[in-house]
Amino acid sequence: MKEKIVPLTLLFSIVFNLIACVQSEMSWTNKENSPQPLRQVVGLPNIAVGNLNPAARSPGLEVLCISFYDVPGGYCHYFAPGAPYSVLPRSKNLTRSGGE
Amino acid sequence: MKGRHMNLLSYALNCIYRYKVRTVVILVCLVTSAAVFSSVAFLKDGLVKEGELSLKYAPDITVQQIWAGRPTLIETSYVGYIQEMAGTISVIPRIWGYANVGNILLVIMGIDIDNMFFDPKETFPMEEGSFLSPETPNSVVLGKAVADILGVRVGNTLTILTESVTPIQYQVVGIFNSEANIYNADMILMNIDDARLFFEIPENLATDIAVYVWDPQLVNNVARDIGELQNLRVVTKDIILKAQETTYGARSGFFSVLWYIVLISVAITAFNQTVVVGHESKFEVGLLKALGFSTSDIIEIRLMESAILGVIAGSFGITFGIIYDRVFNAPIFRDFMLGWVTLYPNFTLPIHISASTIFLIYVITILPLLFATVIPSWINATVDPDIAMRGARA
Repeated sequence: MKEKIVPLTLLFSIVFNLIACVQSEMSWTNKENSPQPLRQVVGLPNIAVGNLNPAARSPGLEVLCISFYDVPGGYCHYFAPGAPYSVLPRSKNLTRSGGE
Repeated sequence: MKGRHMNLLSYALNCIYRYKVRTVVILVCLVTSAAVFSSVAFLKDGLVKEGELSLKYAPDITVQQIWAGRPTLIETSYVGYIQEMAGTISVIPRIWGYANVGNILLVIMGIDIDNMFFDPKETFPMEEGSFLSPETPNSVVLGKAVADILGVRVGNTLTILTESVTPIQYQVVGIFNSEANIYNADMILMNIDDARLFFEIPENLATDIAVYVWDPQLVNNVARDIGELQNLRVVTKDIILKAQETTYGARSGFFSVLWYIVLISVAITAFNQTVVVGHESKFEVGLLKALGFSTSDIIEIRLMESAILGVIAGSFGITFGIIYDRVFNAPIFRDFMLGWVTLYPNFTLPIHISASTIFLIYVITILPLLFATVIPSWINATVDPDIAMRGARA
């Protein structure tokens, strides 16, 4: 009996994981297919990323960005951790004359 | 042939029971690292998925005004210009913002009830009461979790201080319960005019402008045209999604780095334990070889032991990760993944347990263990049986 404890616990664990996986996939599929009027009306992305509010930023590396938030050299408004917000080509805001 | 492998498997299982110290040391280290990794991975997948769902309904383009390099309120006169651009269906100025109510940060969203895509009274997920109506100014609809936190019910009056410390009273007319837990936990909806008054935003300004486009393929063209206007920042849905994935990817990446360090330690421990046990089991190996076991049989036994330990550790690690996220709502990790969450109200985290993540956890739990044990096992197994038994006795 003692020797069966580990295999039984392992079996239970695998079944538990499988059930959790299937249940999670099903609930996400249901969510995706059901109408979501609140999301439609709000139209905002998920909170912690979609805003520029410093309170919604993460500790860790971003703390540096917070501390410089509103001073010259901070540039936090352009920093959506790792990804630039504006990737569209901006034209005609720089001209150069003279030299080679 | 099959019976031979089954016998080797049975022998490998016996070895796991016999060398208890090695088994326990490897399992404790590996289960811990697998649990940490799975918890963060499920949390990250859930947050990205939740963001993707919200973005599905987000405007194709969000336009913000930039002043001295900073986002500021946008002039509503842009609405007319953008409306005339080819490809746009609808251009809606929005009023929304953040407010500290008590000691939590809430999102206050102004709803233009006369300008909605559907009938909110029929489709809105109301838990209690009714939705906003244009006839009842100074009324609000709260998320269920917000109502619980603030201790208010339908019919109560809520007094909120504006940024200029002016108290404004609102009648709670409804409480909604959405599938998006974060909205339930941090959102107050009110008429757009009430929101304008609350944030003290003049008539000619808005927080941002939401632009909807006919054809998704036209989004970049429209965005480029809007970008030609002065002092505007144009954010497309794709960019937000990319930013979101990168953010959560980077945040979970920090944990992954820590996790790799733990995994390397586990591999070294496993290597060390196999060497030690290999020394102890020299006599056993010599005996097995004298009885007709080949070198490959002994290596197979050791690999089976490692694979079994890996499967046990991976399975238990995933189970603990799920329990940590689902039952305990991922303390510590949620702070890191969500931001300065002490300012946020409590809400049930979105968790996504995907088959691919589970497969990945098994792979990265089992493979390092196999690599860490194969060399000592091979060294152990290639010794001459006579020398092995004599050496072990000496």
